[in-house]
Amino acid sequence: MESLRYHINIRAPRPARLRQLAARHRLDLCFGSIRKEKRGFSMDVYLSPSEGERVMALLATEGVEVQRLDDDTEEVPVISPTNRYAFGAVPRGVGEKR
Amino acid sequence: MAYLNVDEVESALIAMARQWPTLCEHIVLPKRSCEGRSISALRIGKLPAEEGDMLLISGCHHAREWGGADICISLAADILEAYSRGTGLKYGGKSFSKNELIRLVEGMHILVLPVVNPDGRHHSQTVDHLWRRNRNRSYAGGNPTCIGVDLNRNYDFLWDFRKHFHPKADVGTSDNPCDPQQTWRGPSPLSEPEVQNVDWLLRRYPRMRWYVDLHSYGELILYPWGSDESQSDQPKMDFQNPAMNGKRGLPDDALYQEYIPAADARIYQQLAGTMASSIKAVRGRNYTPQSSFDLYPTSGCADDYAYSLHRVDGRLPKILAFTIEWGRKFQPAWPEMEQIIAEVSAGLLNLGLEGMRRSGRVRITLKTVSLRIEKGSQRSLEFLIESMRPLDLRVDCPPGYEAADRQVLAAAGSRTVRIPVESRTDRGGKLLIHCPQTGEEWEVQIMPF
Repeated sequence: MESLRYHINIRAPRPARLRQLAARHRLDLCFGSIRKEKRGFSMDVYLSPSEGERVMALLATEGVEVQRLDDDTEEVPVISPTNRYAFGAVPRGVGEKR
Repeated sequence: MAYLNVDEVESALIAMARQWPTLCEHIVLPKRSCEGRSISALRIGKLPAEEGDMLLISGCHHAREWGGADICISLAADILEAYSRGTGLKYGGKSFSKNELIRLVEGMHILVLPVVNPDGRHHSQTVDHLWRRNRNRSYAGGNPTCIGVDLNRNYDFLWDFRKHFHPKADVGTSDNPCDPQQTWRGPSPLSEPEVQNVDWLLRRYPRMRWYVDLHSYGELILYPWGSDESQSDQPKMDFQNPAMNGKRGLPDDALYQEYIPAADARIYQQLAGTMASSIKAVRGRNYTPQSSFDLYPTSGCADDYAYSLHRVDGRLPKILAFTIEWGRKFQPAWPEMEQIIAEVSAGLLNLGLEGMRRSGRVRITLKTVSLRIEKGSQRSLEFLIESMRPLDLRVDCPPGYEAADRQVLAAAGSRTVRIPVESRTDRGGKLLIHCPQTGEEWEVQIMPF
């Protein structure tokens, strides 16, 4: 299954402000993704298209510096619905054995 | 393919321990999670647990960072399968030889703890995909948004940030159980059973040398300190010095900078650089090595805690601890996650190899350049060896020659070790000798009389 990812970049003078915005708007933010810029800090956030429009509008009314970047499509992550190793099957790693 | 669910992680560890009982040990950790789940680890290594140096890798302190567990399981399965089949391993553009795999399995231990926080992972995978903390309800007062402790703020390293840090420091932790950033540090240091399990592992093994805590995201390799910028000139500026309380955590100031011995600072940079170059070799992604503080000041984190242990208690080994912030989002689609697993696995394997190469005072010098042996007679290979730990010398003979592998016991000082070689042919050939613990190889030309 594929979904469109709405990609935005948010800037603020301090990381704390970015963390605060992420918490308030439930943004998919990892603190580790906050980057130091020449002036202040920034973070990239990915949202669904409908959420993206909403969050962009909200942040703009709060006076936050926010920019929309190129969307991309990506498969939605899937969680295993069963236990593949319950009956003794052994997991295999992603490495090539050679 | 799909991300592992919580039950699958446990089953996968048990399945590997059953499949390769002589190569690994399934370890059930002493504390169950807040919701009663069993938590386990897998130790990979042929040496007795107390003998080899050890690398601990943990995943999923933070519930929503799913891929940490999948990295641990995949890496363990790769090592065990490649070693047992006698092959090397390849991740994109980065390869590890069969001998390097032998060195890892026979010369050290790799201990994986895929899911520190199973309750949180389960909640993140079934209810709220952005959940970060554990599921401790004791302090939530019935409010579902206040459930849980940020496990990577619960360690006993400058945990009481109001006391230890400058009031203006922007420390990424909170003393509010309902903090919307989900960074509540918990009621006291090491209060959470999931964190107590990690502490138990760090203290249990006398030769625990390296620790990598897997997080997402940011493509970063972080190392101590997280409390302030690091310096190697003023030992009094130390996390244990109460006179420094209230001064820590401000960037670009002279008030306080955390002390780290120069040799440790150097080795941290080198090992982080080693990991970054292996990661890059897989598919070209650039992971940036930097100190945790360069990101933002932290308190109560696992990496600082692990590295600080030997300073607090001199009986404990020095553990060089890192945090890898893998990838560019919490839950990438599986095809991207597989690529991330490959790159992080390459970085971790190289850390083990490089760490092991540096950790012991081991010097092996081959004194024999060539051997002249008459058919039916015997001559010896001669080595000068200095090693405080046991070593193996494995000999691969050409047809018509015989030599036994040799075990070398640990001892102080240097000594001569001889390996007899017997000839039953009048043809020449090449002897190959290999030390799995150091990864060194030698060739000796045999010439018939």
